[in-house]
Amino acid sequence: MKTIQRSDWSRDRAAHLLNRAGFGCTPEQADAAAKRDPAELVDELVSFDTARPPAPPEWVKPGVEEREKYREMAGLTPEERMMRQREIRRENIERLSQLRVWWLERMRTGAAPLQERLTLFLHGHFATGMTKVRNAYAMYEQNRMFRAKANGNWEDIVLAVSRDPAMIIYLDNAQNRKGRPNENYARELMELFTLGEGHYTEKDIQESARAFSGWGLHRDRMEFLFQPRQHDNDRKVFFEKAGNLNGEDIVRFILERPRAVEYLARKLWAFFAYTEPEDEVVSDLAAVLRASRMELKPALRAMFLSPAFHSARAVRTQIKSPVQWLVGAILHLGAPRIPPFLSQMMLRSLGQELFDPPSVKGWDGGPSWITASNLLNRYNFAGILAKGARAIPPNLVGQFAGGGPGKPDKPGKPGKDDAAMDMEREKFRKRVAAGAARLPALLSAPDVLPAAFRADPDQAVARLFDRLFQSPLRDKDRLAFREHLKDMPPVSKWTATEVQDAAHHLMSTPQYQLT
Amino acid sequence: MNREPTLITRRSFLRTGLVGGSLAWSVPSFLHATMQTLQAATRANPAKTGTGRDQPILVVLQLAGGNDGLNTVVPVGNDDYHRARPRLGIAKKDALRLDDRFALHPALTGFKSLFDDGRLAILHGVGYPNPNRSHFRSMEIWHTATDSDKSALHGWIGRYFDNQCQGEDPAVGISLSAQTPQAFLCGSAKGVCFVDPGRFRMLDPSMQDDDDHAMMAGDGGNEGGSVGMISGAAAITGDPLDFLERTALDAQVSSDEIQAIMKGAYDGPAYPGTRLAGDFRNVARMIAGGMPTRIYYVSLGGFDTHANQSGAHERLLRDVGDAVKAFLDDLKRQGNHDRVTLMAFSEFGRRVKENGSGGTDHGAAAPLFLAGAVVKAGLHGKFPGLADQDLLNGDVRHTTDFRSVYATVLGRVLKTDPKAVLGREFPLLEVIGG
Repeated sequence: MKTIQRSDWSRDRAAHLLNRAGFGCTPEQADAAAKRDPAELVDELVSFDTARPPAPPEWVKPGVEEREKYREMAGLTPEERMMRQREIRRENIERLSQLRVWWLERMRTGAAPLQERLTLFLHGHFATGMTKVRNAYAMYEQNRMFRAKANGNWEDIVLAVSRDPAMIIYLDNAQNRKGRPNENYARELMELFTLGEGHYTEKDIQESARAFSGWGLHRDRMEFLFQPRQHDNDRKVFFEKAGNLNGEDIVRFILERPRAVEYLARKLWAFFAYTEPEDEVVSDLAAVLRASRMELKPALRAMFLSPAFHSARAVRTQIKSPVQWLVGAILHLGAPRIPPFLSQMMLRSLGQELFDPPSVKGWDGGPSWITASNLLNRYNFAGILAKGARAIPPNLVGQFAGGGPGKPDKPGKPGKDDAAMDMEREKFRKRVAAGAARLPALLSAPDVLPAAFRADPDQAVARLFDRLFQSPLRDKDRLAFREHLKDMPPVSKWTATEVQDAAHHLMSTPQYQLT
Repeated sequence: MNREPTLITRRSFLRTGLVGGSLAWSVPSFLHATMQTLQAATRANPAKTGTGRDQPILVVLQLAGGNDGLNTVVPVGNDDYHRARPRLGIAKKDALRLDDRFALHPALTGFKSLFDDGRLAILHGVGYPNPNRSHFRSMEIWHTATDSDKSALHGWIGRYFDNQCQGEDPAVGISLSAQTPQAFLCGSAKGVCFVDPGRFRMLDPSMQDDDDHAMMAGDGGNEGGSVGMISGAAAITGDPLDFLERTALDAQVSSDEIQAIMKGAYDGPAYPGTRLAGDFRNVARMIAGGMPTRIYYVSLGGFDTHANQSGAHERLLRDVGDAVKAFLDDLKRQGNHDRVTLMAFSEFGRRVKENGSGGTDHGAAAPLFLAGAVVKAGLHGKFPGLADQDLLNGDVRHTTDFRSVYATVLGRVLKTDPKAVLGREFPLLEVIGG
């Protein structure tokens, strides 16, 4: 793959790289990256250390607790068992909520933003949802596995996914037994995870489903468990190879197909650069993947250093996902933390609930993030983040207390989402009772618009654009905003309120939705 | 309510800004200022006049995940059916009788009463040649109305917007979903999507409006299973910034219209407490309010019943039947039932033979439902048969191409030329009179 040179490097390119390989950057970070050698900088980005994982949420105790839960359950009466199950369900919802904030905080502060971006890529690619899995520990474990292998080997990742308890639950492989095959995992493995629709036959699905029979899980430990007696040992024929094939054989045969390499190259490119890349870009990136036997690190390096990644097709053409939008906004505003309550409500409303993608296909991304409704909501939410909500919002409390029509995951019954909402409502009621329902402004005015930039309006506008967009944008946008400033007090007299308003304005634009 | 023609609505919006335009230094006035080019484009493209009161309306209900057609409209008299479904099969005595051969799932009491009342038509064996068992591909085929070996970006409803609704209000299509259904995708960027019409608006810039904070209660959210929501489109033609600017303008125009309706009281009848029923109630409310909308899109996920199907499927069908019944009764009360037709479809049915996990795998053709005053109630089309020689790789064969249903709905409900939308002729069906 072609590589950009030191002489091609610029601050705009440095900002573009940081925005795409992470969740956004500040002008100061872009300045620093612009001074580096691009190859050195990219090497550093892709070579994050996976040996030292972050400390998990405190409730994570591998294997132990699940086992205890099941043991304790055995001695209970049916009513007690139902009560206990309800408690466990509530506990799982609470834990998932903590897990989401834990991950968002990692995205905001983590030493390796690319590691978290890749973890998010893998989560969307091997989409698995809490709505069906219903176990926060299994979701954490999957997330940990993605993070640990984020710049690793694709075959290793696909195999780990095939043995991942959350995935085994999500796509019914626990029910895939000898003589009673369940095709769900086998189908999505090829259709969505490795090859794409149309590159296998229905017969291939049936045969590979049999190869994955008996790949189940140890429910009380939430661990992978191969059950030999449930495994179909008869002859299978898959991609012209025959024999007593098992899941490992299937993964290997799939990934030996030239199509598998190309499929991954397209997915990586679409996530980090742009959709529908030129054939040449795909074949170049596929060649890098093939040469390394599908190691991700060299492919990422080649991608981030390629001229195509820094071309006009790539720069400021990607519609931010809600997670990119939120974490980016928090960084741009200089906020001290991810607001736990608001962040979850916002992501839910904008269509990207972590650990609960809409389907096994993950999030469609791109323009599908934007509808008239959630574009308005992005504008509204930007205001709440920047300025806070200035009054105690009684109706917010009312909404949470009463609830409208529910969002049951099982029609006719109050579902998981209702339970999750109930818990959020309860927490919120407590905060109201404690007088803390006022939502604080998260913008830090000295970070967003330091005193040094307040001497004249042009300087202030340039700084605000740099802070929020990392680029000067079109003249027409700059002039429109400059014109608009005429209705405001002079920049030198601005207090935090005016900076908040200005940030809200600039975030309430089509331009802010792009990175 | 005496609504102005849409062009006036849009102009007055642009003049006054989003929320009254009283504050010079506000996000809405900023948005207004940055939209001058779009404003000019709007002026250059005069809108058709017409209120929403007199137009026919199509409501599409998508059952996402692949509804088990055989356990929905049960061939109770069919031995092949009972042989293929020793655990999941529904006995004649439990099902709700339609005729000697067919009966509805016991949970579909809502559909049964609509059927008896002459308001529900059932079409047997709807599908397409060379069926695809992938959810996403099959949804795409239904959304774009292409042959199963071709693909297209724009949806069939979007092509209807492009053909018939030039210059009209963006709210000519409304989808109650977090994502734009691919069926809506078109060249002219018509159709708006939101989860809850009451929350589809800008917050008051002073943030003092109590009700504004209700926005935070959250839209979206998933339904059960690995195939929940409808699937959206992941591509656009052209510049993403243009796309965002157009969407922003549409958002503001249609938000004004919808808020005018949602702020008024609605004394409709009680609906069941489910999300789906709430969506139908909101559609009824927008219809009553005279929105210029021709097509509403509603969906329910969770039909991908690979394992332990019977309880889940029962709840899903009860939800669908009861919500649709409440909706149609409400329209009758409003006096709008003559101009509203509902079509309910799923991307495929399920395998005839049940699987080893108490569920069913992806299949092919399935029954489709049409409801409303204009449909000829009853069972239509040819039941495909379930004997070995009738099946295609273990799946139900189609006897009616779904595009014939689209053509019929386009021609006889929406009064447009089906060929202009679908690209070629498909035979019209007798289920809706010409």
